Amino acid sequence: MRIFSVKNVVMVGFGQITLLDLDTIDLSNLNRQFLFRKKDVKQSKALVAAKTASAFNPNVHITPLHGNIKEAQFDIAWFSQFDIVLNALDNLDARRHVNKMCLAANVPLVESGTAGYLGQVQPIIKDRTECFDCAPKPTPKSFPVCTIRSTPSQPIHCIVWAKSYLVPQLFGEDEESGGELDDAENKGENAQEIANLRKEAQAFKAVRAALRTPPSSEKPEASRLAFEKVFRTDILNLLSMSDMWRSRDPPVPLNFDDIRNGKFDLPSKPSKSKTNGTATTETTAKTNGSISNGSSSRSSASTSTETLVNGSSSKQASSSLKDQRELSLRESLEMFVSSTDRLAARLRAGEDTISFDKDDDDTLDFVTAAANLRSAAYGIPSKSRWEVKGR
Amino acid sequence: MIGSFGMRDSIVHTGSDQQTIYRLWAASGQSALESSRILMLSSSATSTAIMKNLVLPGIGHFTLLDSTTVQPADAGNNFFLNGFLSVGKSRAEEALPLLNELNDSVNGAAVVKSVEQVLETEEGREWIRSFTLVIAHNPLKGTLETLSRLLWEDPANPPLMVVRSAGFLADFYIQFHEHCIIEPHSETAPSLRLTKPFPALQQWADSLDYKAVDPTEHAHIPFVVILIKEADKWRAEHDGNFPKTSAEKDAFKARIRALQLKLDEENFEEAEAQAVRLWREVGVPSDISSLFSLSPLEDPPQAPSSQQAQHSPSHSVAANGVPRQQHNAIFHALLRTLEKFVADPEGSGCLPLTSTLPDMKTDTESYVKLQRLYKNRSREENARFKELLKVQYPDLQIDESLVDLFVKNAHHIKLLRGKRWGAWEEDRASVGSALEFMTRETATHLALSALSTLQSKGIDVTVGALTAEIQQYVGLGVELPGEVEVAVGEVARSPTADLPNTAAFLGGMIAQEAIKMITKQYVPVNGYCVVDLVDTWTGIVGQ
Repeated sequence: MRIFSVKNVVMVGFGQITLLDLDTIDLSNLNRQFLFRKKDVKQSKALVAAKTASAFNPNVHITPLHGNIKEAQFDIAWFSQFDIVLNALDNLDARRHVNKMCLAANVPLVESGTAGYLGQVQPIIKDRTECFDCAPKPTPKSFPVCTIRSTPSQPIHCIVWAKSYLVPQLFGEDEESGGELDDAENKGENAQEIANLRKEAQAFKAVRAALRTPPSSEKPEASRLAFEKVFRTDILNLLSMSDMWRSRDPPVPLNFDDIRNGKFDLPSKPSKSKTNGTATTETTAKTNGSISNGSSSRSSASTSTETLVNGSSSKQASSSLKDQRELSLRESLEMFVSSTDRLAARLRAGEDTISFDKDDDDTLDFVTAAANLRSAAYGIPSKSRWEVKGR
Repeated sequence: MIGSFGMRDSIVHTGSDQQTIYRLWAASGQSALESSRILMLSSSATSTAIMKNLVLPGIGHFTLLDSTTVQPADAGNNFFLNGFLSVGKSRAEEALPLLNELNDSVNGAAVVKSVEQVLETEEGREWIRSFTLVIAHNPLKGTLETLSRLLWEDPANPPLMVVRSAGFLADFYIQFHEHCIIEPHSETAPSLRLTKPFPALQQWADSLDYKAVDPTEHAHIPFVVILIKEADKWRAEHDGNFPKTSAEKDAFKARIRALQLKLDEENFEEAEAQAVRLWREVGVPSDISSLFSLSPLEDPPQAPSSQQAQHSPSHSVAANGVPRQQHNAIFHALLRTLEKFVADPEGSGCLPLTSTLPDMKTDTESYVKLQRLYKNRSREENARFKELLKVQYPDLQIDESLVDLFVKNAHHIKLLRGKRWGAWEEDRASVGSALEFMTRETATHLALSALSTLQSKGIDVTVGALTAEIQQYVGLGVELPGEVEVAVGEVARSPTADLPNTAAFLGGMIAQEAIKMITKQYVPVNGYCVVDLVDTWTGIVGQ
């Protein structure tokens, strides 16, 4: 998008252009941003675009800058040097920032954006038009698919993943769930990542089949298959996309047997809190099958994740959880296995599909356990409240 | 430096990468796109901008037909030429390599000939007819008339997109006989059959006793069931009628509100909010039933040999025993079957049920139960539709998945009938009335038409000459509104400028319409779409 406007600005013959972009060129940019070639991948977008576009009009001077517009060096004085600023940003935060800076520097701003087939352009001139923040912008209600499916950073991401993705994938209808991914890429989410997620979805078929056939001693348990698929194979697969983890902490693949035998240790990072087999925190309060909305107290010495407390009344789990103790990684694993077994038994007993219901203990257990395991794999810190039921 | 510009060394347009961006129109649309062949008349800045946006998504083939050489003006505005190095060379041949580089899987060609030359021979005309779509940018008036008439001769000929631009003003038109759309990607929700519930659903509503369920269940009765039950009660007291007047509608909603046992029973709130469905839902919406009266277009009788060449066997259906070709025969067969389906005495008189339910406040058990009822019913109706199709068209070869798609989209299907390029202007009354009600759009369109006429006659483009020409179109007695003066002024100011910005804007817009035509998805513009980038608006006249 922004690249096309660079082309047009150059063709029309603006005299001096400063081009600023934080990003580097991704393989997936090539088929829609045509100032870039394959050899440019991983280079600064601003630098390459400036070089390519300059060729079209030698009278235009382009100054490329590879940086973040929110950096302190881009102050009001810096903004004041321009006659006009064109925004082609992809996030609300940066847009608001540039809006403020342009108002402060009294420089006209052309604000623009697209999503799928929709787009908008708005000129912003101080005291003459409304500004970007004059009309409240709706905060996005849903999470980006890639956040839920590949790069969670908050407990809620893991809960949404378990509830809206994993449960339907394993126990729901066998329908092509590509719609969500289609929408995501229409909104311009990372194409390579989405292709990867599509592959991942395919592999669910085998696990689905195992959950629906009677267990036998020759075959591995369905719950183990499910575990291996989502907490090991998928994570290894994601790790192979090294670009994704350059600016984030990579997830850690979980090991079924090691966790069961108490031998699994998550690598500890100073910046992260971890759940491990020896969690000693106090707990979130639990009342009769519901998880309290927050107000969890945490022990000062603890490094453990505030973990979902199971609200189940199922025979196996309830006794051990009566004291509202937080689950250890191992307990999460056991709960994952037992709830998967219970759900699989229900499928085999003739239930067509099972979807998440907060009043259905088996699914609540499953979601709780799966979300906990995923949080552990992603080293997700525990500052926010966990509400499985409420979400 | 300029000459070394390349879009991409080796392209990533393979496998899943390609698909990721173009899933907007699904595999079926992508495959239609990949097998399409586009003829582009001219290789101006606007033409190449359009082609850029068709090459990137991956059409099969394009030909640039252009006999002109690159002028300095082209070098300054056309991104796809090699700047001033291209001056004096064939414009089509110079533009081709950079367009080709955008996508390895697209096959492009440059033909250095004028359209006029090609139109002269039967071989040339046949060649033009062999494309999927023909796009022309700023063609000469006489040429356009010949071309549009040629392509209008037979509904099986390719659609023609005519793009005219001058400075910041432009318009475009798609000439087609008939365009059938099974997937318009409509946002409107299909009927839930609340006014004519199918037996299993009715049974649920009948068996529901508000008093017999416990408070939790009461708060989770799906709104669908509540509405059916309450509508039945209402109709029993009102001679079988649904609430009609606004007082009745309010009374009906008040009844639902009164059923709420506790304030937080959201399912009843939902029922109240959704009650509108009861007075809006009809068995067959009028925009669908109006299609039933359309008979298929018949291609003009021709020598059998050329007839064969133009149609695949699956498209040939004998109508009334006469071996003539029907245009869009399969769509019409499905449409006829749909008509039979709604008239079926054993059926409900409604369009086939879709199984997708909206979200609602209920418990899993009820939702799944409801889902199952809708799914089963829609399966039955789908089977019934196929039965009727089989009876009606026993020899029709049709992919079952296409029938499924049609049945699923029965609420949304569209059939557009178009007009020949220029036919609208021949209807003076229509143009006069448009000038009154769609003033700026009509004024701009007429100014572009006048420009084209003057250019073809070799008359100098002046405000006076343009205005006189427009006066001719609308009739000498008609007073021209001020908008004509504005449009004429702008056209006279820049009669021949092909600006990069206008070209880029048109490139996106026209490629998008071309994709709609090729994929037969989404609804294309039917009429003259007029673009004004001075005041930044678009509008459509001459539908």
